[in-house]
Amino acid sequence: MSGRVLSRYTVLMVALMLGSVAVAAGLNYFPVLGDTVALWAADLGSVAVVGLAAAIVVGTAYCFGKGQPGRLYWMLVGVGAAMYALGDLVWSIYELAGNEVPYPGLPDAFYLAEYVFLTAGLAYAAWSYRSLGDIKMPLALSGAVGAAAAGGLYVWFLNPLVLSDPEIAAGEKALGVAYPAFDVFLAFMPAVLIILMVSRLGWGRFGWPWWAVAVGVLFIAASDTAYAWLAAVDRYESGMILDYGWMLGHVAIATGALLARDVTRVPRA
Amino acid sequence: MNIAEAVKDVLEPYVGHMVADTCVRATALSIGKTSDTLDAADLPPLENNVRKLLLPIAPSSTIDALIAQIERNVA
Repeated sequence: MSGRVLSRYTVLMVALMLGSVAVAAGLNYFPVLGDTVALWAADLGSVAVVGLAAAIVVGTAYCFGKGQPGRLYWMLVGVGAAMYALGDLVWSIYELAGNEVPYPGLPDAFYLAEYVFLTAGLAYAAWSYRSLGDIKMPLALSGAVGAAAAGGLYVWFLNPLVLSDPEIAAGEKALGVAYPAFDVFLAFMPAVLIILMVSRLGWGRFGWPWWAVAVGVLFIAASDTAYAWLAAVDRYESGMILDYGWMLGHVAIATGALLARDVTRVPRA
Repeated sequence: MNIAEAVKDVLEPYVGHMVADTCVRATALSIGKTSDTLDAADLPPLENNVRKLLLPIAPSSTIDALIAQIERNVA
């Protein structure tokens, strides 16, 4: 069934995004063209892939009529991805000019802005899907899962590695807490909520886009948490495998947006 | 094909069995009938409910196409 539902455009765009990630990773891990090209590929590859993902998601928003909820929730998710691409662009400008990227700095403002838009988009989508069933139980369950994740994060990561370390500056400490906390409350929790809402559809096509989006959000949240840990212990370097987690996360979100176009295309009888 | 089956047949691939079934049963209940006793005269309230159900999650053009398909199935 899925073979008939997926459009050629979706297959082409997903292949283009995954191919770009593979080229950026290939040039970075096998720097046959030199270290400078490797760094440019890692930095600008991410800007290009996430920028394309953002454009795709915004494009999906325009498949919905003016005033329809679908236009707003996809637009919010797309603007969130665009914020990340802008953060990466600012990061690249610092790094490719040979300057140290400030932490906390301007790129973090854009990265953190993504959470605001992404959360608003996911929460509004979940709210819209309440036409298919009650939202209270999914809300309570996602809250419980989020609280458990936040507790684990505090006990095993934030308290021992960030909050109790006197050598970490206050600004770094604040971001070291903000990224994982936002990941849990503003990314993971809304992603669990939307999945619980669309799980009522079983294999119904209108649920497919959100499974892809949730996978993407999980990739981003895992990458962010790993980044916060590596930055806290001063071991993060640009071009690490972690960078591809962010890229793949946004590719998955864009795949969800492409699926949203495909599954709403009703074949003429 | 009876009305309930015609509507469920069209909706199921998109919203799954449970939601399609609930939509038909809820409409039947709201007009004092059961799914099995729905007839062609009940199509307007059924279509209205389908619209209400799908408007927050699907483009209007998709909903129009699904409703047209329901009408073709019933005819």
